[in-house]
Amino acid sequence: MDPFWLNPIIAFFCGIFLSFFFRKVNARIQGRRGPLIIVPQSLHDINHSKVLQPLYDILKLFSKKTIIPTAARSLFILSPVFAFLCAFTACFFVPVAGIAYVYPFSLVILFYLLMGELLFEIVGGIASGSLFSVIGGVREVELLLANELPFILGTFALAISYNTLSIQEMMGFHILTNPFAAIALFLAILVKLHMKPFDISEAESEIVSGLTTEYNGKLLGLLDATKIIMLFVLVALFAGLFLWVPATGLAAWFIFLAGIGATVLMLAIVHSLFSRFRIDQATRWLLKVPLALSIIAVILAVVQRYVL
Amino acid sequence: MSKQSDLFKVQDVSRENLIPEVTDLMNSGARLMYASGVDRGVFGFQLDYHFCFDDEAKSRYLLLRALVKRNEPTIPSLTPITTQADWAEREIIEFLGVKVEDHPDPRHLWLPLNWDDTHAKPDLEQNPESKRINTDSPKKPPSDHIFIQPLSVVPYGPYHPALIESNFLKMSVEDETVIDADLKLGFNHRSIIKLMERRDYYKDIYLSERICGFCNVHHTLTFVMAVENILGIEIPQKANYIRTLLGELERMKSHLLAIGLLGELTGFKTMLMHSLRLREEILDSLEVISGQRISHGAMTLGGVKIDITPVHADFIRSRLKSLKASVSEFFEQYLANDILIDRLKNVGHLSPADARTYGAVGPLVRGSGHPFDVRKQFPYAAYEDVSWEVITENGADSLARLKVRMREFMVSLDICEQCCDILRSVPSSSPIVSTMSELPCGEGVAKTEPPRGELLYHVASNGTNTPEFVRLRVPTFPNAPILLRLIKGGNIADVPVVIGSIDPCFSCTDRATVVQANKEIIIQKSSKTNESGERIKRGGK
Repeated sequence: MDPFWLNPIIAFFCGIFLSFFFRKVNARIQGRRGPLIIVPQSLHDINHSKVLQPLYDILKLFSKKTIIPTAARSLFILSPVFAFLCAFTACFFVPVAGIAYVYPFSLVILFYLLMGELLFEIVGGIASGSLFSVIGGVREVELLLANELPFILGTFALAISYNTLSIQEMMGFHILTNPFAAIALFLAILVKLHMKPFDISEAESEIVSGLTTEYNGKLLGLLDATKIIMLFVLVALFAGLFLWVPATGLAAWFIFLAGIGATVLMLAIVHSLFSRFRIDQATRWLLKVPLALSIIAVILAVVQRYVL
Repeated sequence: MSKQSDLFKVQDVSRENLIPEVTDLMNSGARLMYASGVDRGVFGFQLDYHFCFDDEAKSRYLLLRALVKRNEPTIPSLTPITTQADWAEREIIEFLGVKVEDHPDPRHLWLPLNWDDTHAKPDLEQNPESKRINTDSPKKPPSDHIFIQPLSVVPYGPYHPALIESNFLKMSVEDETVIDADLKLGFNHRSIIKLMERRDYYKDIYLSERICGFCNVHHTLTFVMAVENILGIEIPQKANYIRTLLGELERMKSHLLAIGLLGELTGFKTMLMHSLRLREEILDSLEVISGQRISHGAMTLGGVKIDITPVHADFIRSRLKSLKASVSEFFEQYLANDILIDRLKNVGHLSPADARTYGAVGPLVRGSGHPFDVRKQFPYAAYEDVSWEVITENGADSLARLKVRMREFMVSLDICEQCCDILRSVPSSSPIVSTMSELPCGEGVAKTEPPRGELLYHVASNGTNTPEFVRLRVPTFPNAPILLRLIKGGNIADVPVVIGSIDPCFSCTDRATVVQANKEIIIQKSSKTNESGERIKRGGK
């Protein structure tokens, strides 16, 4: 019996390291080098990188008082909990170093859980009664609609190749066999994680912070924890489907960590090298490039499976 | 070398002749820069209309002066003729109580919009004992609702992540399209002009430095130039070069930050960080010159206080050399990002005709293809002695304004290098301050071109050690109403882009106005007696 029940814990702590790595790459590309000053020994600590900084951020939020806006409905409180539960459950179905809950339709379950997480975030934001959250919610729905098609088609290309809907059975180094699916899924992950060309729903300079404008304290901490788990889930999915070499034991862990590290590196580079799309530009682009790529990926998979 | 005071002319106009006179002027291509009011005590209110002629190679400066009676303070509004008078007249209404007839929008610009509800007007004629300010609790709570429409209204401020400064932009929005917008200012009001009237000229230089952190060199320079125009003295040529060098370093500093901020407003934080990194070279140069990074205290009446030695010039030269290479690479990378270009292109379109009609200044008007630059048209410091060109772009959108800033940066760098070369060859014994004479009665104006546009100072002297009045107009003052026109009809996501491309300085605009016009001029020996004199007078009332 595989210890798949450990996955959420691994996801959370791995997610914190990934999040730190993401921030670090971002800072290096942006030329932020930190204080290069000579400080007394007692202050020496401030010159060091804090690997656990994402964890400290969450712990700080959990230590704070939560303020509920008067205009908010009860879904404002419930939605982050449900979103967290969705992300938590999704961890079971994503292979961590090859270990996951064995279920023949795990890919479909994962789709629903990932979509459910986003939907609960939208519902919670809109229930807060803030205008910025509503604008962010509308933008998020538009992105979700434009993004879900390439995401599903990209992963289904592999499902067609292997004639299965279980994630574990379709793992492999498919970035070589079906690169179109890899690019389509990578772009979809950027949208799902609100990374730079697509962080439209939480555009700081336009709508403060979009859906999470009214969230604070413990609820925001819960949302941040959800975000970290989501980062891990999607990155692990990408690494498992496209950057995985079948192995066992320590070798499997090594390959897995290299895979998620490489994926986060790519995400961070893209995040820091682009400016933000406007919502109409983003939907138009998403329905053009990633959709075309994912359709090509599906055709390629069909050809590989039935013609060759 | 032509002097700014040669191009300046005052012309009196009667209240009745104002409208025909201004109509003629506007038809002959004049631009109303500012309208200011001064309380002249028993003589009434003096209203100054500042005009300049942009089409001329050396633009004339014409000041139309109307005097309205104290017991009947009415003046016809110029806003129906030209919208350039809109905000300036609102300010006159607000501070002087002059009734501007037929003004289409006579609301408060700086005070809260329901100021009149919360503060009852004193009824001094009937009852001299009545209170000047109603200290009772207000009948209605103060509100800043600019308009109420059956649409969702998006607030943008007073504290919003897109703008570090406090202003209050409200937009009524229908499906992410901005239908209407209005701006409320006055959150930072410190009435620096009033403070200037109470301090002597040398202290005023430091006060004017505190108006804006970005253009402090230009603020001090313009104030000093206005006073020098009253004195009519010649400035040593070395001081002129040092002023030019400092001004251009400041322009580079500000433009680089504006370019980076436009990136940040479109979500491109990497560009902001790199622009800040490059900006350090300029700040280092400034620190070597003056010992401070932001405010320098470099200007003084008749010259500058800080000498630039050949060692300084060499240091700046070497810093500028490394900056030249890295900045051109930075600009190349910036314009190579096609998502960013898509965000800027055709956003905030200001046609060349509109730019003239609304009286835009600075990179905003040069981005619409007009070669209007104070440095060329109304020369000051040493701009006539160095070779440079006015930058224009024809795109008329946010991208064009960005390109204007980028190319102006390179031009500024060139000017700085020329100044450094000249300053290195000048003998170190040459003077940097000219000897001062006694300050006569009179008035002087000065105009400079800070990074954001045209800055205007109008100083009058009454022979004492304090100015009789100081009026100033910052570049954001004419540009901010245009900002509102540009965001109307656009997408809500384009609002930060338009704001960033105009690069407004609202704190500048706020501080630069007077709360209360000066009363009867009592000749005082020092500012201390001035204050106590004021207190006695107020106590009597």
